[in-house]
Amino acid sequence: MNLPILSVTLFMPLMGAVIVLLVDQRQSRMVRWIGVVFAVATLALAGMIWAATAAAGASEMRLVEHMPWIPQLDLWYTLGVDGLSAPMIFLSGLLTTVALFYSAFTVKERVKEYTFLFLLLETAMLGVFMALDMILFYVFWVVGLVPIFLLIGVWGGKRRERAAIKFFVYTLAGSVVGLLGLLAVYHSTGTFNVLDAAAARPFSASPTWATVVFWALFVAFAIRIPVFPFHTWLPDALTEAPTAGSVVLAGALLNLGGYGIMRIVLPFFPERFYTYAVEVPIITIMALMSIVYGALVCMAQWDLKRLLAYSSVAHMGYVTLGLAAASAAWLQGGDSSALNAAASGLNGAALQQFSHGIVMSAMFLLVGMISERARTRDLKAFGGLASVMPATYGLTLVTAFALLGLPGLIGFWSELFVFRGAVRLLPAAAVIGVIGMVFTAGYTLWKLVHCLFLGSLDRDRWAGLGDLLWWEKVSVWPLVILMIVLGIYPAPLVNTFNAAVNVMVQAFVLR
Amino acid sequence: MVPFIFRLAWLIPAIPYLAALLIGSGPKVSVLIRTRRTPSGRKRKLTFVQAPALVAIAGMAFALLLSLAVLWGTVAQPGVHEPLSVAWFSLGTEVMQVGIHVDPTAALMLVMVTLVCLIASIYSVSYIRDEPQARRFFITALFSAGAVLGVLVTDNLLVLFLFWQLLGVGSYLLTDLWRERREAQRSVLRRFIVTRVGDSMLLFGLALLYAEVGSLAYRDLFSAATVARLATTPYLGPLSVATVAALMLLGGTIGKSAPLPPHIRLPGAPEGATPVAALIHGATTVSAGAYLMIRAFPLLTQSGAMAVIALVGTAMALYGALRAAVQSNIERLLAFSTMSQLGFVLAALGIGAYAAGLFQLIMHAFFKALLSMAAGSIMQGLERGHRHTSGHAVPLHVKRERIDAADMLKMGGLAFRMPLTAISFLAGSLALSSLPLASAGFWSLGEISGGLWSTLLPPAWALALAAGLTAFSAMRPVALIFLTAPRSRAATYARENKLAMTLPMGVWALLATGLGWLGIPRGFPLLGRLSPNWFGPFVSTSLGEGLERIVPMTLAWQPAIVGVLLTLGGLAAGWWLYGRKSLSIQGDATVDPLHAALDRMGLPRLGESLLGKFGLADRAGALGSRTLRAAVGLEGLIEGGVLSLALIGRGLSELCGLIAGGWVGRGLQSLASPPAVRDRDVRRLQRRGVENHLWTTFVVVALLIAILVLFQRV
Repeated sequence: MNLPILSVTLFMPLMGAVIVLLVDQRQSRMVRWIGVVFAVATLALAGMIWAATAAAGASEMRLVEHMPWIPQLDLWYTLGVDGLSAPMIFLSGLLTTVALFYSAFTVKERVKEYTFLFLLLETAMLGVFMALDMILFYVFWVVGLVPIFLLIGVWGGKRRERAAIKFFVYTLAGSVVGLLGLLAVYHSTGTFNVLDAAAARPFSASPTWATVVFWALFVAFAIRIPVFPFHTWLPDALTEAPTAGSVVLAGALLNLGGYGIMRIVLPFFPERFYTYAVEVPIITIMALMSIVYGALVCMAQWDLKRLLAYSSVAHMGYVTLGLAAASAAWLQGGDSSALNAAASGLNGAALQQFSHGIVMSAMFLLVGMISERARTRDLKAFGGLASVMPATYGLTLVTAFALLGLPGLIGFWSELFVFRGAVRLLPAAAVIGVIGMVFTAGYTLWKLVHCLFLGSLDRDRWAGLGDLLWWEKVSVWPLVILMIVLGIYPAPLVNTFNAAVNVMVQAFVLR
Repeated sequence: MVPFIFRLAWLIPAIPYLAALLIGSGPKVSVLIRTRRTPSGRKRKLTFVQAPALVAIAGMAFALLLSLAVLWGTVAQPGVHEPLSVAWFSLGTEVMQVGIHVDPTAALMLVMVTLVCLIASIYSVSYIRDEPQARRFFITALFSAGAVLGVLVTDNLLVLFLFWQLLGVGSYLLTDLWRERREAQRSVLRRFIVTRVGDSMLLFGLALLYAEVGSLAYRDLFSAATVARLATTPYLGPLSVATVAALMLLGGTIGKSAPLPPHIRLPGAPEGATPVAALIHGATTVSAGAYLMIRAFPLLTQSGAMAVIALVGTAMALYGALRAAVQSNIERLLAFSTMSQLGFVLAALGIGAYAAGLFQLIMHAFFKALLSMAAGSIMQGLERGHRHTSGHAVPLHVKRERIDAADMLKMGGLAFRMPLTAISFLAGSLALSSLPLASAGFWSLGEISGGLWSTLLPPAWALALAAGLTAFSAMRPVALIFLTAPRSRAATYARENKLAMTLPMGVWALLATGLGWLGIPRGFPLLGRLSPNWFGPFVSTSLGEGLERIVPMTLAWQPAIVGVLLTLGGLAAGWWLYGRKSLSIQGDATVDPLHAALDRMGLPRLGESLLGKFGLADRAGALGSRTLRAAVGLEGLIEGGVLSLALIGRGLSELCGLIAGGWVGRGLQSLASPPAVRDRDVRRLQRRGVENHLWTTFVVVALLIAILVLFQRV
């Protein structure tokens, strides 16, 4: 009997969480390291899952586990991974590990609850990426809301409660709408299995219902991405969350939204998606607004973490743009160049989530390190830090270049792929999206490099700031190394995504 | 043997990066070269050559040797060689390959770039003294050199774009040289963003070609069949895919090569490293921009953008020449002349004169490097003179001059004080002015205007005018710097530099002039032998088949005569205005006869605007910053708009609070409120007890979920 590796990985963090609960509260040191050890173990398993999936051919579901859950309600415990989810699982594991490791040195109060919540959050994230049953998917989705709500509300900054509630209202509203959509899909297709439902094409007979359910599901996931105008919860949540919380929230949790659209909305309703991306281009306009508006707000924003949050919004706009471009291939069935462009758009969207996860997490870590030392997030107070924090400067410079999509670093590939899809399928949107690139370069270098590190140093205030400590370096370096390695040789990542994406494109275009 | 050398070509861009890595991580060692006495004559002071300089020189020398080997290989076996190709990643159903592309064009460019970078490294040893600065400087320089070499050896537009952007990073890293100088950093950042506009166009073009062809390798993109297909595929209205892509690539080239290098805009030379920076900029950034056009030539010829390229090139040539003609700052003059020469290259490519464009590009790199080095030597000599005059020998009551070592109006009469520099500069100037028979520039220019003559007459005249102006602006600095009498104390006491500086310069002067002659052994026009020279056929083997629109390298007699006359006229005018008699001095300022003449003609604004006081470039810069400010203002406007939305939202929230509980209104409100107003509003709202509504809503939602789950009959 084979080891059910998915289940083991999925419940590894939960097991850690339970063990953490059993440890005495006063032994915070032990609690911390239990958390890190379980996160590392999960990460190792996630790496094995990725390797196994890639080796077996990532084009279809691998390592599938299928068991009855609540048979009376036709609910099944179905897990599986393909090329789309395997890297996302790895990313979630990696960011949780980094966050727990970093927190082990920074979080001083309520360590037990903190570690417990983080491990619970990891199980929830992994569950969403592994679940093939819609209700199972939904359960993990909602379970994930609680830990991040508490992480913001308890360990956050000054205005944490407001931010936490705002986060919860938004995402819960999205979840409710999404649940209604999923139930409606079940009504139409008679199955909760994601793949079977996609094959059965829900609501192919009634366009009105298809439109309603499509929008319900789209909004549910769009809030999480987040797409303009559903983005306003993100700046508050990211600004108020503790540094490690921002890392996981920005880096891993946002990916659930894009993943949901790629796994559920696009395969279920390709023709609706096509309608609202091309004929009535609401989705495309939302994507472009995210890109342009997000970048403009960044230009005007002087709060460091808020700036990064809006930059997140702008970057996630490219995910939506890639999805919109891919859907635009729907009418052009047999044309292989259109198919490849659609595959490129989807690859770009998936890759943009992955690279955004790596790069934005590193940026949040670095900014958190600076602002925790300086006890302010006001950009105007800084300047000339390069001479007191050279290592921070170097790492931030690399991360900033990755953020603005410099070739040779990971952020470039997703932009290229998204534009390749958009140029062929949505030319006008591609033109506007390309302009966003210039803005990105502007605010990234001006704000994150020049205002922070260059210019003259306020010696009275900042001469005492120390450079990075060893554990801070250990937290950031893995992310920076991944940026560079995957930037130069993206094949391990791109080929895995591509195998799954090719199948998806064939499925939703050629039907 | 030859295939083996070609396979090694990937090492050429790798070497500078390895050297940079070595410098960056290596121990802080200095190598003792010799000892010397301090000026006071008592203590013995040690002079070091820094280890970074040695590593950089060794690295570039190695790269040069490899490049020469590659050139030898291409001479032995002309044509296109792609000895190495490996899979990179797969996208859709295609696999992206990456590899090496060696052909005569690339080989010549490789030799040119490595040679210029090597000489720049040697030359900068005498410029850069302290160790940390040397470290940073050489890392920056090697970064740029590696990037441009990468642009040259790749077989793939995607890798070209990768190195292209690294090149931008290389010049951005100049900020690191001037950490404390905000103004310098601003100008570097401004340039990066201007370049970024071009880069985004290039990325668009790249994405378009990638989407249409499914590959970005030259062999797929620029094959006759693909190009013909792209030229007939419509994309945007009447424009074909090929035309749009060509225009986008042109945008990338202009964004990369046309803006002045950032250090030129700076007031005062930061740490004296600018001539070296200019040297490297000319060899790397400008060449890379033009190389893209040369590489994409098969696509350009079939696109509808050829005329646009020719016109843009002509406009750049004329504009750069006009601006260069009036500058009194030697560095700015050289920078504008570079812009103008790039315009000539683009014009050549725009009329299909592939070989002439490439020839012009390479020759320009050589003589511009010579001019940059000579300019650096002049500035150094002037500073020595300045130090001499402001030392102990000067009585206290004499006002200490503060000098701008690049200001030519403060020079004069240096020919006999700095003879080696004078000869080098003169050689460079004559080459720049495309003097008939004495320079290589004559040939390429003659072909370019000859080609235009038969196709587009007005641009041909504009180009001829630009050539005349170039000759004028080549003669003018010679007269201003070296002839007549010194116009400042610093110039009076200027001294020739040490051998460490003049020797590389002198060697280079011989090399640059000699190479120019090598290019035209058979095309020498004695007794009308107008047969094409070996250069054209050699580099033409780089192009694939089916390119019938290439204009062969021939000379037409009308444009040649016009060109010669205008060149001679420009040279004569330069001498007549500046070299004939000493310039008059009013108060502290030297009167520039050209500006005086323009004033007399009633065109005072023209001179000033060309000088940059009302200049286009600065206007554009101001426009750019105004746009940025407007963007920020727009952001304010959006926030303002959103603010009114917030008011509506608040109204709605009140209403909804009355009817159904606060959730809808609250959602709308937070949706709409901008960060600035949100807190205040929220506090106000909280006072009104929205929080309670919120919890009510939670309960309702939870119940809703429960009902949905429980009553879902299946």
